[in-house]
Amino acid sequence: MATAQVPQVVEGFLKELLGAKKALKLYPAGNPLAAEWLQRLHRSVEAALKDGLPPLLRIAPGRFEWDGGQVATRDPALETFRFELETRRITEFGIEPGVEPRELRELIDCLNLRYEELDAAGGLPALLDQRKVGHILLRGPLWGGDTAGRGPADMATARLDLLDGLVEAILEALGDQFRGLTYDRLRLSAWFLDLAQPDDRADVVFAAVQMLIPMIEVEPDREIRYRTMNECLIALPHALRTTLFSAWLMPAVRTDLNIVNLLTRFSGDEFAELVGVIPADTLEALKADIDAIPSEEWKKSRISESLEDALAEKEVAAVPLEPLIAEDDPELLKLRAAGRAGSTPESALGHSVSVFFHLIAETESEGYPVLLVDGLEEAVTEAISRDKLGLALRILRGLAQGDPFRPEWLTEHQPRLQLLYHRLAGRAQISPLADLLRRGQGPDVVAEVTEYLRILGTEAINEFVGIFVDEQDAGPRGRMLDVVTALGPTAAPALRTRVGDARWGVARTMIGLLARIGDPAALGDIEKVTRHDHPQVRREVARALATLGGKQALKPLLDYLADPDGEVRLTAIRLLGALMDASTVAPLREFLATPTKTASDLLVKREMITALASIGSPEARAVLAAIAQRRVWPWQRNERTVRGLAGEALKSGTPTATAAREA
Amino acid sequence: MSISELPRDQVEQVFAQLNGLLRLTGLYPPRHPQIQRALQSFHQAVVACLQYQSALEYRFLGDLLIAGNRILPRESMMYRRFIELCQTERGIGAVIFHAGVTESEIEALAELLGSGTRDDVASWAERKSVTHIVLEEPARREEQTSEVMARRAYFGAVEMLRMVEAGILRGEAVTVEQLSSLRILTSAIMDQIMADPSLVLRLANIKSYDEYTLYHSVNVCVLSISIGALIGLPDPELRELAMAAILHDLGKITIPLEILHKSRPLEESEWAIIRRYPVRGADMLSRLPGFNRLPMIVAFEHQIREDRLGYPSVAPTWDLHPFSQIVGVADAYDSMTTLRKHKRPLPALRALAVLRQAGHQAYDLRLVRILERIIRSTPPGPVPAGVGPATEPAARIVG
Repeated sequence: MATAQVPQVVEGFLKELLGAKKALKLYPAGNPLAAEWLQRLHRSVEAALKDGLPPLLRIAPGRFEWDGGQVATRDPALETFRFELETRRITEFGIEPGVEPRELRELIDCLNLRYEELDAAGGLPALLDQRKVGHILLRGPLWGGDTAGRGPADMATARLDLLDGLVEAILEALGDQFRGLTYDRLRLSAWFLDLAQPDDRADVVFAAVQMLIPMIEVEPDREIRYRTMNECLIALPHALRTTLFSAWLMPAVRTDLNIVNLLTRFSGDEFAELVGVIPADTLEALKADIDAIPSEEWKKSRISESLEDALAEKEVAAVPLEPLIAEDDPELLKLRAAGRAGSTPESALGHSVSVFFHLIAETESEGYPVLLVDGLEEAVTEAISRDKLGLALRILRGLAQGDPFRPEWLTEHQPRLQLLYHRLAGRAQISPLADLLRRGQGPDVVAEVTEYLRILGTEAINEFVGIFVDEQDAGPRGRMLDVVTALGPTAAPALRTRVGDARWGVARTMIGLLARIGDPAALGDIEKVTRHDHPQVRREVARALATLGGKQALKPLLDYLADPDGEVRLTAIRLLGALMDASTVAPLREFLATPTKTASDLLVKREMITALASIGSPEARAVLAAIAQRRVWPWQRNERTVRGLAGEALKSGTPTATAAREA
Repeated sequence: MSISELPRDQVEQVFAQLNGLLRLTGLYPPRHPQIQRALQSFHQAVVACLQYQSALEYRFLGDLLIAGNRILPRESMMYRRFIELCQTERGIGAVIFHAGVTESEIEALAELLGSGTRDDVASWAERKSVTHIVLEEPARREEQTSEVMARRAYFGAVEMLRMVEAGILRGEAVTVEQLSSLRILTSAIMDQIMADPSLVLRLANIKSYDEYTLYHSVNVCVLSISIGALIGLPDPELRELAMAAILHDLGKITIPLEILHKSRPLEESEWAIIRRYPVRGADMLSRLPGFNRLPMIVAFEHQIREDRLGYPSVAPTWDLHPFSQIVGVADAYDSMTTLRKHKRPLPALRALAVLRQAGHQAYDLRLVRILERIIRSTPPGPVPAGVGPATEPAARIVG
């Protein structure tokens, strides 16, 4: 049942259509505002059809007509819309019940197309037909089913085109001028002032404002243009501005929604200032009128409330002012320092890590963990490259402890975190760590690198050891060595794999480190290189075996007694002595029975005697006694020394330093 | 139809063709078929544009390329060398094509762009009988900084943000190009503000009810730049601050419109959704290409407040980034002074009083005082001289 008068229904419908048309032109496809406008239009059409929207509207000069009525297009925006329909050669227009939002959207899309695009598509009705729009009817003199006699129609089209072109060119040039004005405060201000000449003609300025608003409304940057115009209006000379607002703009609020739109775009301060100049009784009357406006409830309320404030003389005057901060205020200088410090990449990085952890715990979006891992990897890398290992450690500790995360998050994304560790353990990520050790001194770096590697685990340590064995400079190498030592047994697997390295220096270092770490599992790997070509390695093997293998080392150590290298033999004997195992007495006795030809032999025998003295078993003492009592010729100087050493060892447990020197 | 209504692609493509033509003139002799083909193609493109408008104008201002009222940030970036060459070596500040332009005129322009001329551009046009292409000399530095320019940059930033948000809503990733464009536009806004401080309030007073968040974001950018400048942040840091500020509310895109535009007080469940937006914004910003950390930090922290009682909830020991503090103050001020469906705008001084009262607990009071200095002591800016218009008025309305 119709609840409103038909002209109002028609006008309301046309305004909704115009609003939706503007929205769909302004907002990109998919924008929720556009979709909202479309839904609103559809609801409005359905309501209008129920309220008696005529099935066919005719577009006539200055009005829309239908059978039995008409509505004049006094509203400039509506008139512009009517004119546009007319220039698109639409003479009749209707919407049938059952129209779908899709059809409305198609209609608006077509109305927003350029003329030539429409022509290229065969005209508006053809285009709507192609898009299967069945509930919207458009008629024009040049298209439709009654286009018999194409010849005259074509001629008419050509004439119309020519005229259209001319009118359009003039309107366009004029429009460009005005559009330019609404972007340029100085020119627009000057124009308003010029218009008001002579005698402060506020009415002329008002007419100019009324003319400009519809032009502004259709521009995508209308807020900026409104602002330009409002600034110009505020800047008008006081008398002119007072008249303009009190006699023209404010009263127009009752009848002109464009003016409502304009006024709501003034800031709170500006509006208070503007209404402050209007006499109280006028304000009272205005307020009553504004309250009676049938639409734009919230905008109307805003103006109405501001008027109330003005009447109550409150707002700005009630705010106490304080002295302004000086440009050389010490607080300002502190802020400057804080701002500069905070904007360094290091500071941003630190902050971002905190945010990251918050996001890990908070964000529920799918796929985020993947990106998060990327982000954290970047952050760790950047922290290391900026010598901020502490920060990188903070990230790793956070991940390792799982502190900031929900337990289920951690469980769910464990594989992802493993992948992060895997990435961070790669050569590209570990190399910068070694660079830190190359650059940095002090125990802090060593301790931080150690912790970093320990968190990342075997893969990272293996890479690090790889870098370490290639390091040439003694300083960094020493620090890397400290790191590996501090890593302890966790580094052992990486060291074991390099025991057989072709470079003797590397092999020796690995063996030495394994011994220092005390990894018994390394014994097997070390035993494989007991016959290494290089005596230094063999010596290191001997030491490592003695350290790690204990009694198991006796056999290889005893084998080393026959090593071609004296130093190796010497080392083996010392180690055997240190092991103090009685089973070594017999092999030692055999060796001691051999002739002492060289100084090297003498040195070895001295060590053997020391070893026997250390072992101290009856068998060992018997061997020593036998040597001490052995008959030697006076010219057998070396043998005599051996005999002396044995005797001395029997007395004191070890040979004296003098004897050692003599030897 | 004004140039601002021409499809953006068309305007951009014509300029790309002009740039291509210039490159070809450096490679081939004038009558080479390649050049001739490029000339014909470019002529057709210009003529096509001029069917809908009387003139097609490209203006160079510093690093920026402007077509009509629009800054073309992407092209400013892509054709930087060309823009620089025109201004510094060829003495050209604007190229304006008028309807009726001929291929021979375009050929003359290509020759000029390729080899230059000893004359000034006006004499060149006369000598070559070029009447449908107007070349203007480059604007002086002081002319490059203007309110009009600032408004262009402001609107460019709004448009770019709109594109970014629409893309996100369609499920598309933000592109490097979009971010670079945004950087160019925020830098342009900053340059204008630094040259004319009176622009701060002129720009920050631009509001929109329908697209509140977009305009609010640019306003917060404007105010943050101004606060940062008064603190004395160096130029590069200010540019970073501007970028972080303009993206601070990106997470609001995840708030349903019915909540965002609700005129009645929000329910607790709706507040819970609102309180999530900084996290969501930071989440989105952490995924951006060429990821810069500051926007993510600021998006996350700007609602936390000094007393840590804002949102998202963090430990009391959480250390706020200085940029987040600046943006937080600018954000609160702009929000309070903007008309929304559920609240009236506060006058500036009252908003500042609210911020002062909340200071120490909610905001860094020093920043509030800096903002107050900006608001209260910003110069009014230039006014039109005398009563007469600075230039010929566009038209006169007879009352």
